[in-house]
Amino acid sequence: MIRESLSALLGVALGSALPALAQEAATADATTQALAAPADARTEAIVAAAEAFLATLAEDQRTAVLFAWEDEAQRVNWSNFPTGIFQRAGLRWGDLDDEQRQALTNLLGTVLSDDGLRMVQEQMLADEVLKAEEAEGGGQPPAGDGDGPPAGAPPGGGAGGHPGDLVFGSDEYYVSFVGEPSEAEPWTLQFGGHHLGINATVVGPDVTLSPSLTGGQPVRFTWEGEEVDIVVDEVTAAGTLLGSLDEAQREAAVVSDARVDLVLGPGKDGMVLEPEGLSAAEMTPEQQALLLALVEARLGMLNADDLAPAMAEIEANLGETSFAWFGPVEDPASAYWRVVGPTAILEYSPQEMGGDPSNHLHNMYRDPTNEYGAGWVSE
Amino acid sequence: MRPSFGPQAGAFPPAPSIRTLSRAGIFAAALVAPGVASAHPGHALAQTAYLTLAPGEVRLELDMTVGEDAVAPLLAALDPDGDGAASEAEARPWAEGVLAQVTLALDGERAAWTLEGLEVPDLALLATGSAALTLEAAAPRPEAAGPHELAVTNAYAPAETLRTASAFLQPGEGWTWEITEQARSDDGADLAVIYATTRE
Repeated sequence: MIRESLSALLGVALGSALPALAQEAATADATTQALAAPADARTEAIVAAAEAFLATLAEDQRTAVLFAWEDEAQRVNWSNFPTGIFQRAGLRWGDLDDEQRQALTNLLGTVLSDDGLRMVQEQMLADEVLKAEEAEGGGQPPAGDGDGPPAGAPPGGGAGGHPGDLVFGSDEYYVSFVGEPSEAEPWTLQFGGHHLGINATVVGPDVTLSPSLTGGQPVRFTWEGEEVDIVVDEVTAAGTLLGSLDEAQREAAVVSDARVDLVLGPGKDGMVLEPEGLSAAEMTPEQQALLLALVEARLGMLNADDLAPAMAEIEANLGETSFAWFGPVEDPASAYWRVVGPTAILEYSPQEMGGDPSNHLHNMYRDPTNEYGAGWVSE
Repeated sequence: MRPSFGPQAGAFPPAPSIRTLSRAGIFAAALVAPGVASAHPGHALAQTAYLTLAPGEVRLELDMTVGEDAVAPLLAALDPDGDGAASEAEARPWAEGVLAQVTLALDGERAAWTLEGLEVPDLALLATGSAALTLEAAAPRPEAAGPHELAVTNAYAPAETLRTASAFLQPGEGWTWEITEQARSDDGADLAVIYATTRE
């Protein structure tokens, strides 16, 4: 089974990582900058898992992984680029021992859903596939054998390296915290590497993944005889929605038969795409349900407790939500699409490098009202 | 209320945008700016244009990443002396030439861009398709309440080109805008936006 392969590769025990939820509600510390709403059981579990991970670290590791909530540079220090072009800060997966990896996996599994955790692990596995392909092809020499990023790469933020120094592989995924894990104060868990940028901000009882980058290259591959398709649910949902449209609806939805590139990738915080394409108000109830299913195919990477209010808000705003398609209608996996609503902007963006656009994706999720939890912190 | 471009109210300001040149024209040759996503264009030149309606002006950010078919012509334009680096004396004329091919019309009247920022990554990285050129410009835009049209055509195509342009709003100084209609050409070269201006 692929999950056993992932376990063996990543050195962790898989399966639902959700620990038992605490029974008592958290109370805010009156001496700290307390939030209006107390933490719920999910946040308590997330904080407990975060503290358990931090407890596995040596002092220098703890220093490396914790950044102040006010650290604006670290907050935006994420990218789809691999090591060698972009230098992440924090702790590198390749430098963690088995206990630390297990604790981090548990933490991710508490923040994310089972599907979300699997997605993260499959993306890391995809980068192992890419690393092996590059080595076989005589491209970039494989690195990332636990020795850290290339010499000369700048610490934290910015880009570095030169052609030939690109480093692929699961070792090159980094964890960091912006703000210290707390039930009473806001903080962000960052986990990312090539084609992955998870930014999970916890504010009292609430968690948002805005903004987060997913995708991968490849997204379809075979690992030890098992077929993996990281985005099969999303591609299926997109094709089903497009296929449900009548001629007039399709004409509105398909903005162009030419694919476009990702618009709101890393570095584009605070920007809001205007609605375009087919408004959900012009869809039947069944089609609106398909649209919500498409959104949930992406956002379902978040744990169910925090996904529910996010989806409820998106559903409540369906009348102001639009769906736009750019690219071939006969091949949903190769076309760009976006969903734009007041509290959710999703982009699915196939890339040409690597040959098959459907097998190289840069996908983004943003909540323009709440990037990095700003909307909750300001309440 | 529809969210708009600009800082989220709350704990912190928006992420820093690409560095701008001072109006004295200091050139910033840098590695790729943190967080700029690569388009991995494959063979073509990928151009992503961000057009922002701001008080009294339209702002343009044009990000370019280079596919293998576009490397030679682009590097020849950026580095005519072939020394492997793009000096200010080389890059600025290139950028001005690009802007001359990005025509802007406001309510049917041609508007002129002023180059305000340029970031050129390490040319070796640029040639791999894993880094982006970023060009920033602004054009004056008179404010008046009522319906208006903004039309942009990006004709810059030194090689096969994948283009897209998107419009954004940055309200302020008592003005707000609402985009009521957008139209695009299939090749992504043209974007027309109908918007309504309101004085608060």
